[in-house]
Amino acid sequence: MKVLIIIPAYNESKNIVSVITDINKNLSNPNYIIINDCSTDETALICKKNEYNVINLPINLGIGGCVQTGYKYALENNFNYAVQFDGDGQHSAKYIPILLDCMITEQADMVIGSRFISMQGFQSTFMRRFGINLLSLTIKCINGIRITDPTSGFRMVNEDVIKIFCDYYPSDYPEPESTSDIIKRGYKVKEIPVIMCERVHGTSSIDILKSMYYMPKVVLAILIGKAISKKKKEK
Amino acid sequence: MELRLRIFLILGSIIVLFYFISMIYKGVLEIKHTLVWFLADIGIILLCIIPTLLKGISRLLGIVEPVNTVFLIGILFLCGIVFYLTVSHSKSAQKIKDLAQKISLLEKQIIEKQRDFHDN
Repeated sequence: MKVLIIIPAYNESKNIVSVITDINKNLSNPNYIIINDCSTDETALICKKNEYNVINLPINLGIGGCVQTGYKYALENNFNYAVQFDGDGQHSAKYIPILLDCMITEQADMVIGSRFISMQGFQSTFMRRFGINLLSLTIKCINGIRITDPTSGFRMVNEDVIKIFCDYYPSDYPEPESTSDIIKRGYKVKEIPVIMCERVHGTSSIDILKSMYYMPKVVLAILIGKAISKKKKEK
Repeated sequence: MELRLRIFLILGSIIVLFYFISMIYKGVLEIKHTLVWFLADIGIILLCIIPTLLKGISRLLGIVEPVNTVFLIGILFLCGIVFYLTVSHSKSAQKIKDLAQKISLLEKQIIEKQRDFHDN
């Protein structure tokens, strides 16, 4: 059983080393791939120097295209599971075995690490939590299932979902939309509590102005959905 | 529509028409994408040459001043073109993304092959 850790990284030269150290410390023989989204800082150089397993994108694709590259890599190399893991040090690798465990015991197709179940650790700002609740509500209205942390970038998926993500993955703020899409197709999505930290260095790609534009975009995307009739889960 | 405006529009359209033709001749523009501009240009010339056509359309739509019909048609046409461009831009962006991902994955494969080669 092969698990791939997908680490999207854009200008994370200060964080990437500690992220990889964390992974190597908590897991034995980890398979990871860093997707360097055409960073303008020394991310590529650091990865090369430390001989990290890295893919360098020739142009900046944004988080969606960046993560999708990881899923395509997972598909090409026949991984059974893929887990998204932020390159900014927010996530802790010690939860990866727990995600995998939940995946297998619950027979889930996607397991999301949620900040808002145990309500511990970094809880994000008030405005952002408001946005997250709104997205959660939208998903609940459309699919009837409550996802406490739809924006979480810490989630594991199985082979079936990897294939779907290779076909279509939204470009900006991809998590809520793709999660809703997966539920709509009839796949089983589970959440487990995790504790996240605040990013150590650098700035998040999400600022107020962008959020104002992308919030309605994501809500609309969830409401409309994708034409998926022909690709429902076969069971 | 006033005669002066009509002459201005006809002359303008003809100049633009020749410009289109020269662009296609030089191979700068693809005929597929230029055809709609071509038709619009010829449409304007027709509307200016045949005033009754314009008057007829105006009466049909309840527009008092025929020149406003010209503006209306122009704006609708531009909206159509802009929308078409948005669609085609979305498609191009998708293709560029796929290409970039493919290139990076291939590059990765090449590097791995090279490493295997050196190791053996």
